[in-house]
Amino acid sequence: MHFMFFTEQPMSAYSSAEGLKFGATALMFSNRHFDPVAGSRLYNEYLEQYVVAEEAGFDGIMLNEHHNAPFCMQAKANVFASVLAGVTKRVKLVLLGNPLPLAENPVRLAEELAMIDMISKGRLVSGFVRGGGQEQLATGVNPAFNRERFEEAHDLIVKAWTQPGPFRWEGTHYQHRVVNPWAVPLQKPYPRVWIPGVVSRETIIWSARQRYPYIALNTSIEATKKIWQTYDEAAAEAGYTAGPENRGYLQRVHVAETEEKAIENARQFMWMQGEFTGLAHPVWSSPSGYFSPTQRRAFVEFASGRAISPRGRPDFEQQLKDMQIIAGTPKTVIPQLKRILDETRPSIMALWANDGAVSHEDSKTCIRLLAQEVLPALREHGDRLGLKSPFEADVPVSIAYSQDLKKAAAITSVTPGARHSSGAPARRAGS
Amino acid sequence: MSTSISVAGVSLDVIERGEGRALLFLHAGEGLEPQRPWLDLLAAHYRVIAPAHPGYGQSELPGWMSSVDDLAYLYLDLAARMELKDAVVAGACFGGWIAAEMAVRDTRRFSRLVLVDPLGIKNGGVQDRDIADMHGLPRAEYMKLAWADPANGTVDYTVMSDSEIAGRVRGRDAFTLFGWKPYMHNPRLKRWLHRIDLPTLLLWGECDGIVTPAYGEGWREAIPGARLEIIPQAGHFPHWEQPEQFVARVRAFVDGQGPS
Repeated sequence: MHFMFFTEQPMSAYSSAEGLKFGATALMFSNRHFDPVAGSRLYNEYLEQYVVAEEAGFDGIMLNEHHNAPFCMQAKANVFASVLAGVTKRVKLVLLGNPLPLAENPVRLAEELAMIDMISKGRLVSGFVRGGGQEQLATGVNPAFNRERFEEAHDLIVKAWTQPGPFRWEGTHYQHRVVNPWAVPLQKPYPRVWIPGVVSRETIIWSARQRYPYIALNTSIEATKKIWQTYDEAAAEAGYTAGPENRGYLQRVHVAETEEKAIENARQFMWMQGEFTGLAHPVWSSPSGYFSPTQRRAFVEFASGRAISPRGRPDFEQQLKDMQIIAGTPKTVIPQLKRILDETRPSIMALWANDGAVSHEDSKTCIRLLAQEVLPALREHGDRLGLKSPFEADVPVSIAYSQDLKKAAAITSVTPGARHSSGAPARRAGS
Repeated sequence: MSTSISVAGVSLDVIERGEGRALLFLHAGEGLEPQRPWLDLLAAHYRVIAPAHPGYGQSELPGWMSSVDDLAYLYLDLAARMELKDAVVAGACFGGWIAAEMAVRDTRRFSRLVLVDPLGIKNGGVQDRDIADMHGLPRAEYMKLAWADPANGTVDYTVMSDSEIAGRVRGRDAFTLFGWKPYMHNPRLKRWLHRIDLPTLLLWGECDGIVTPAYGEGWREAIPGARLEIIPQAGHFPHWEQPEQFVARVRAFVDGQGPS
């Protein structure tokens, strides 16, 4: 198995009373509440925590990015990945990931990622995301082009990594006279790409068609099983059999020396007014055009008062009960985490270890206890279940490099750039 | 009543109603709403041709289409295809923007232009917002800006069929696609409004909070000889909120004392 340490890098040093007064703090809560002195301290604490995670025995560090919101200080995952490429020696740097549709120049991303891969001596895992609803507003990108831009930027980056330049790119959303970056990835054919997500069926299917592992972000056990079913079906259609090496899972888990302290600190997972990624106004988190017709339906039913919010979250006690959040001493969390492995069978596991205002010292203790006391037990359990990571199983980076496909036809459907030269695909035919 | 017409390879859902002088009506971002009284009142005097924009109703939204330029050419092609002559081109809200983009390009088939609370131009500076952020407002706040009396526009989604709700949301998605960036305007359009060589009537809801009557002044100044008329007790959609007033003003302009 591959175990990663994750933190949202919360910017907790602001007046929570002001935040509560304002309401939805994602996007519009003024950055006059951002204290750069505290920001500087927190960035350096997070950096130290990553180093501790490597020393203590984690296999990877998972990084992400968000914009205009206190729940995540990282505005650019590539910045921390660059720093970590230099200061760490062994861990994989797992970016989950760069939000492709927000990029105006994917070639720049290809360059940055190639640099990170070379500086880290081949330790980059380059995940890509669509960016949540309010991220489209934070960056002024048309949400109706989100998926088109995601796919075109991905195709362009992969081409920049694998096809010698110079070449020309005249796509629907990106145009380049010259693509010829003098920085290419050390890993061949290119760094592994993992795709994280929570809800979007289209993204699950796209990932399966690419043969990129899908990382379910703290979804319920039931929802996770449905995700694998969707993935496995798309994989079978593409000509291969999906297994644990295609599956990742993010779990919120806090460990401390006593049960009481662990529970107290784990309450901080609810710090953003109980919301997973900060409280966002529903209008901003689901802008028109962002969702697929199926996804849209759930929001329509919510808007019309016929259903509960698809983003609704149960309270802390319920989440502990459902193991959405796990907290305790190593002794008490191990059986619960084994149960998660039994139920969801991932080979990639991200442990989201602390959130909110958990102190630097408690965070480091949590990381050490996880790495030194919890992970050995989980590795053993994972071995028993046959959960081999993509590295252990040595699976191909993508479907285009797969030799074991049952159908050759699957390869042509993902030829990079093909759909852009032949015009854009049919868009939202009907409803 | 609605038929499917293929224009430039795009299948358009077009309502045709009434007889007389042709009036091409381009609907608002919120949709066509043919069940409201405005359409029959207008069709009592004109042959109203009202297409659903690509992505609305049953109209197709092809993958290549993404700008108001595309819509302007599409409807110029529709006018040619239907062999319109001496027709009125009218547009409300988003449809007004499309109508103006058509009129700066080619007015051969038309003799009158009617713009009803149109979006599409920029009057203010870089930090001024001319057009309310319809996609960034909770529905209740939007309704307060868009209607003189929001009760006039209230729709009960709980009794609507799923397919009808999905259709409306699909329309909003299309509205986003065409108008998100720059938000609901073309930064260059105002520079070319001087090219409009049709008698032009600007109708404006007195209480429009999406684009205010002051925004309408910017249009009036830019289109040679244009007249701006204010409709009381109406918001962003005077044709829905005050349909009799709307039709009377259109008739007076088209059939009565049109400016020379």
